[in-house]
Amino acid sequence: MSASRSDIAAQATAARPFSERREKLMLLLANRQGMVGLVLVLAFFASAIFAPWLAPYDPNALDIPVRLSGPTWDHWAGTDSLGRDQFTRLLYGARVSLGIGVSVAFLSTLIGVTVGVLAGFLGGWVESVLMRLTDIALMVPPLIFLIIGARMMQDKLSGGAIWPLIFLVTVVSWMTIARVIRGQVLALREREFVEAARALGAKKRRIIGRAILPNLIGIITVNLTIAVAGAILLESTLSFLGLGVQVPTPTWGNMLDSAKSFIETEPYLVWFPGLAIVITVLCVNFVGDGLRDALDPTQRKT
Amino acid sequence: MWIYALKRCGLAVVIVFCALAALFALLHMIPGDPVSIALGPRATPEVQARYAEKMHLDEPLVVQFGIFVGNAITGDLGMDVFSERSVTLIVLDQLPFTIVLALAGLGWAVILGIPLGCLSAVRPNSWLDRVTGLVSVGTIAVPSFLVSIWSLLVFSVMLGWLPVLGAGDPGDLGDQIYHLILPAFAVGLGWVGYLARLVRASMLEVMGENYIRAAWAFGLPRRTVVYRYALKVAILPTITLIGIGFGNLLSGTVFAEIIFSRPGLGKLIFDMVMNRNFPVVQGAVLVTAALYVVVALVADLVVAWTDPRVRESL
Repeated sequence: MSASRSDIAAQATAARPFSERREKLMLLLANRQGMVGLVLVLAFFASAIFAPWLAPYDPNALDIPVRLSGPTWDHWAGTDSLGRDQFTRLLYGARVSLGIGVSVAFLSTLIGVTVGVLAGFLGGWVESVLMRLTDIALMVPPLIFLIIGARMMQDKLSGGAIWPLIFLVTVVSWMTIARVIRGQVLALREREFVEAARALGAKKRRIIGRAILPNLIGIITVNLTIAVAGAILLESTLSFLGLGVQVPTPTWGNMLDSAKSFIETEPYLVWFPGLAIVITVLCVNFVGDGLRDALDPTQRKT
Repeated sequence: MWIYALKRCGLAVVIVFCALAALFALLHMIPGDPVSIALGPRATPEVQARYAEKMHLDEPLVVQFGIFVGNAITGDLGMDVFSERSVTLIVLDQLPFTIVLALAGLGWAVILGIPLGCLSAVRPNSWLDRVTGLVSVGTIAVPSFLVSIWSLLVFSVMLGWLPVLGAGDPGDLGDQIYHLILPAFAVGLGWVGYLARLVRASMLEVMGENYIRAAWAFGLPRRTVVYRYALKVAILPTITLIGIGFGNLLSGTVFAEIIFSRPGLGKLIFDMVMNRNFPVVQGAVLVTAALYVVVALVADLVVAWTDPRVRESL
């Protein structure tokens, strides 16, 4: 595996000696696990986006006569206690889970990168304030914070709003990336090209935008990907506790919550949403690992 | 060593205090009047006034915080709004269940994780090594509530080996242990992967050291070299991880407690948040945070005490 990977990388560099971007792309394409993950993740996103066209039923259509039917030709993943088609609800659930996952990943990365870059580049009191803030936020047990926070915003959540969840999960997710980015910026700040930019009289904003940020793209992409997986896990956990997205809007978490009562007689209700979560999170992590191997040589696995 | 221990203890106190302040601020950010939230909208003004006075809700927030901290130091965590029982007693009732569950979960992680990591380091790239790698990646992707549900489904419902619900008959120790096996497994599974990976990495490093080569050269039996000389050193980083792990397990038990209907701190916090019974939440979270910090502290001190390299660098 490693031999073929370096072969491909060597070919890439031989063909176009100076194209680093091409080499990275070849490395990414040569990562089998990462590519399988990427294809599946893209498939999940596509089915989430096109759920209204792909789904065989209406996600909230009740069909009491066929309730708890088990997997059949008509209902691939069975029906729940109200006779709603589980496969349809899984597809629609993907919309919510992936939507929240991606929103949280973008928001928390945005906050984390801003905090990390400002702290690392400016130093001084800005750094102390921001990093102490990060330390304190890291100390709060995420689950307890989420439970209390979601309970407080319950009236908004039961109105069908999703943004409180995005907000709460973002609050517990931005700290790791802030720390990583700060570390990178501290190292970059001392490099010659930043020194050169400063000597040429570039303004701070320009140095950050032109010299620092482009060098962080790799690490930001990797963390963005992995943040999606973490956010999906937290959202499904909250929804499972009945504190996340409220019924009737389906999510994988609240499908598991309602399936819990039928665990002894209808185990398929517990298997499918759970597998959806596990497969999605695994694939997203595979993509993240693949990206890390390609983009971020410092953290490359041995 | 003593200075180091003192420093770490001081830091622990500061951390608990910060956590307490953060929690207090969070619980008082709830929009609306705390009195009507606690008693409901239909309480008479006299009842409301009596309650506000008893809970010191008429004082400024800083004073309230001062009173709470002062009482907490003497072991008084306040009074439950509804049952008028002491929060300290309520928390102490639930605490043993959570500690036992977390310890048992950790037990599973140690029993499975350390041998797995050790064996896969001794025979790299064997099938066992591959399985271990798969387990460590897999357990990250499975959220802990799902582990609880699935293990309940497989071992209790489908195979019927273990009981489904509850903590067992209070008088019967055997029954309690019987009821503990599955929830503990669900709690500990996530840590099997972590432990195995850490032990594997650290074993691989130690196995390359000169003193291990010397031990091989002396012709010592494989078992002696691996278990008596290599593992003893390789295990040190895991002590720190176990310390952190135990702290996380304390709050991670909440799913096992809810799904297996066991009593415990996690379930207490969850139920009381749902009932908006915030004095109990406050007390229970404080105890959890304090335990977390104490365990991490003990783990650090144990490492400093067992590892001469760390001890001398202090």
